[in-house]
Amino acid sequence: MSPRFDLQLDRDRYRPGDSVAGTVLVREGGRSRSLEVQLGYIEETDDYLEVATSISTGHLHKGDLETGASFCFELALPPDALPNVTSSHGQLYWQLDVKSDERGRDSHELRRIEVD
Amino acid sequence: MPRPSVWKQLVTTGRASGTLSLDGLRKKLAKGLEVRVDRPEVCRGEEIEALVVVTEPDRLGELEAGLVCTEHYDEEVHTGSDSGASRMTCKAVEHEAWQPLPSVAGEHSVRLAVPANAPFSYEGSCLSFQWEVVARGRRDRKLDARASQEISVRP
Repeated sequence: MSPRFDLQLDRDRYRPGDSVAGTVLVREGGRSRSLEVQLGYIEETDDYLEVATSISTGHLHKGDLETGASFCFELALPPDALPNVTSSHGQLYWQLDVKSDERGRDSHELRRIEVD
Repeated sequence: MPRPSVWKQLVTTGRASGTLSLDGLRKKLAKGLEVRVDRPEVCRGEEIEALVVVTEPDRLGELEAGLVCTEHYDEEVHTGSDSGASRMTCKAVEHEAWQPLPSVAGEHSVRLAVPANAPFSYEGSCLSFQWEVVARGRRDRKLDARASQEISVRP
């Protein structure tokens, strides 16, 4: 069974250079090789998605995940972080990705954050 | 604010099969029309000052100066029944605002505002935004003349 997560953040809006701090709660435990959180600047069109920049916590945990476990993390936005923007055919935005590395398909919990 | 006209065309190189692209033709027609921007960097929410130099007003038609943001975005295109999909870069006007210019020879100074919530200059892998100050001559039932200078819009 794949694990499932809840993501709690310290706030909703951020500025370049801010720290993004939060907690990953394991809502349903399961098999996992490792757990990490990535903060990425995403380019998205209707058909394509590219990660322009990505910052990782490294492994927060290695091995299977138990229901109820929690892991704190903190990632720093670059001082020159670009803001989120939406256009007619695409968008640029910052997104947190809680990623459980598993055999086969990895599990993800994605959360977009507002950067002004 | 009126919504910018949305148009789409494939991004073409300047010359393909010996023919000029539409943009190339518009530039060729812009003899006697020039755009100068001394400080081509501006932040969103600020104004940029440009000089439009007109030397041959009679052949240029109705003159306008404007600020144009073009969005370049990748799209999956299905070209045939068996050939599957291919990746293609398309472009569309994301923002444009124009002001009229007198159709007389001389140097015309214009101030153009960048909206605070517009995209900033960005060159990415599947999405890019390019800003230009543009002068155009609108000619009845003919292709516009077009002169431009690229600028950088910072967040």
